[in-house]
Amino acid sequence: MSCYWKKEWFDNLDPENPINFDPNFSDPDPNYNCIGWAIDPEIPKNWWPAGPPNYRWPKSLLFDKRPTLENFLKAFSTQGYLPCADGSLEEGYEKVVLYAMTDHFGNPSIKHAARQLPDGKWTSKFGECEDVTHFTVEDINGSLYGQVAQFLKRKRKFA
Amino acid sequence: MSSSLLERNTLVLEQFTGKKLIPQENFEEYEVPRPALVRWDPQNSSTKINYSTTYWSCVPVNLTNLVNVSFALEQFKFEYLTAKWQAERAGMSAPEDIFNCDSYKNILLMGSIIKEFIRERLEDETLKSDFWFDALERLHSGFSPVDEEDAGDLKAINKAWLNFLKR
Repeated sequence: MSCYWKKEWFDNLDPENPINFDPNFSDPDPNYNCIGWAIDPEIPKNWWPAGPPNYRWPKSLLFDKRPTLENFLKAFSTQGYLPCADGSLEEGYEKVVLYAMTDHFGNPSIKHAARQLPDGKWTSKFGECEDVTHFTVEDINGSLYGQVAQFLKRKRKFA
Repeated sequence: MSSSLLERNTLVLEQFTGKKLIPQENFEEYEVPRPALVRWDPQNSSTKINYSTTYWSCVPVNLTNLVNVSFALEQFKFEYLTAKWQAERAGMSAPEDIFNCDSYKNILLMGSIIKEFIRERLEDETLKSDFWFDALERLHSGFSPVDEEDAGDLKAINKAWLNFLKR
């Protein structure tokens, strides 16, 4: 399967010059995506507002299938996440960052999420490709996921 | 052990073209005979010509062979487009992006023949799970055999579809 992350997806992440990512990453796995990896790394699944039967999404939000920032904020709030100002490391909290690109109507359309690790680094599942640990949230800005749109945090649940 | 549909179709194409198709890791590297080659060929031993005194017509008596060749070519086209789609959608999480790739649209344009090929891919346990539920739903007028509890579980989704297709 041709699913290995590529340098050209990102402005700052260089697979051949590992100064900004951990070179140990998982195998490609289409059975979970970035949102599932951010929300629940123990039993990760494919989450998206498209909803059942093919994607997991909170039942109370199934009336809106658009990948808007508002929709994602509501979904993450059902998992205990609330918006916060930045991605700095806070004792006892875990953070998630949402990435978005602007859609045809000028609204942010969510493309990706990354989760902060206890050491302050970030872990990202690249679609069905690998999950990779990168050192800053800006590392994966670029043509694939757009730019950082929102930080969220909750009491730390996973190590 | 019975051979797969793809293996049988490879044989059909090899017999038709007289050319060995060397297995490739990537379908984009296959030298697949173009559909233009699937023409009636008077030199081919599998076809016969009926001549009439008043007019002449060319009727391939062994039509089955041509049908088989067309089917085999469709499967190679499907496998080629699938490999291309997998490369196009690499890194994408959003279904609105995954199912908006040009290669995927071309797969859908092949019509209901792809059901057979998708079924074979679902049966092949050596392949990674793939996102076939959208195409299968389209081919079944929006119906899905997947339980809501299995939402987001690609393995369970593919298993539900495989069981449905086997019925």
